[in-house]
Amino acid sequence: MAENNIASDPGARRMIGRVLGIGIVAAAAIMVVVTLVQWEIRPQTDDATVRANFVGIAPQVNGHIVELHVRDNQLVKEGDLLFLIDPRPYKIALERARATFALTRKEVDGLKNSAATAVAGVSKAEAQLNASASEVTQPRDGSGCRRRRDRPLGSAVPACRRSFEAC
Amino acid sequence: MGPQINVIGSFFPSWMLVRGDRDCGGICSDGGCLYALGLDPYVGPPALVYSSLGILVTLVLWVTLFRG
Repeated sequence: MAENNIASDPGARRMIGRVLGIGIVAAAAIMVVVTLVQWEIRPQTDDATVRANFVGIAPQVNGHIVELHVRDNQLVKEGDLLFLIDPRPYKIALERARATFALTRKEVDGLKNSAATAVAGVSKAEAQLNASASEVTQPRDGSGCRRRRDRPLGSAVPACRRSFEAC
Repeated sequence: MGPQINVIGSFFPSWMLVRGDRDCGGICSDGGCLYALGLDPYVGPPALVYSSLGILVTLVLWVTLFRG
């Protein structure tokens, strides 16, 4: 309807056309000023660095980054997760260390058992030694049989056999 | 320079993208609208008006999309 009115009235079309043309040029001039002001008061760039707030960040371990949770120029806060290093090699190393620890603990337990067995063997041997010594050195009738260790090797035993039999 | 925009792996300045978008689709529709309304002969010097129209649309797009 409006288009028909405009098309039917050349004077109106001329007026609207001039206003529109002047408006376009004026709006373009205003936008140029606005853009220049924006450009001056809020400069933006991807290539600049600010030394005062530049903080180098490096991980304490090396590895491949498998997840990246930030993008360029993103504002981050303390504690935010920036990226994720592949944890698989470290998990494998941890499992290997745990397995080695368990194996070492088993070995320690086995050595403790061996030590206890050896101590028991020493006690048993001492007991056997004491028992053997008492059998040899304590004749019941007090006949004064010589101790086996006092007897020279190869000496005659039968002289004391009776005494031993009585012991 | 302004921010760089990643377009399928290549980085372009934002103003270049806005200008390219304006050139591809804006001029035809703007001129077409004026022509369809019958205002084309009355808007004034075409070189001035259409250049101003291109600058206007480009800057409005740039300020709206990248400075909003």
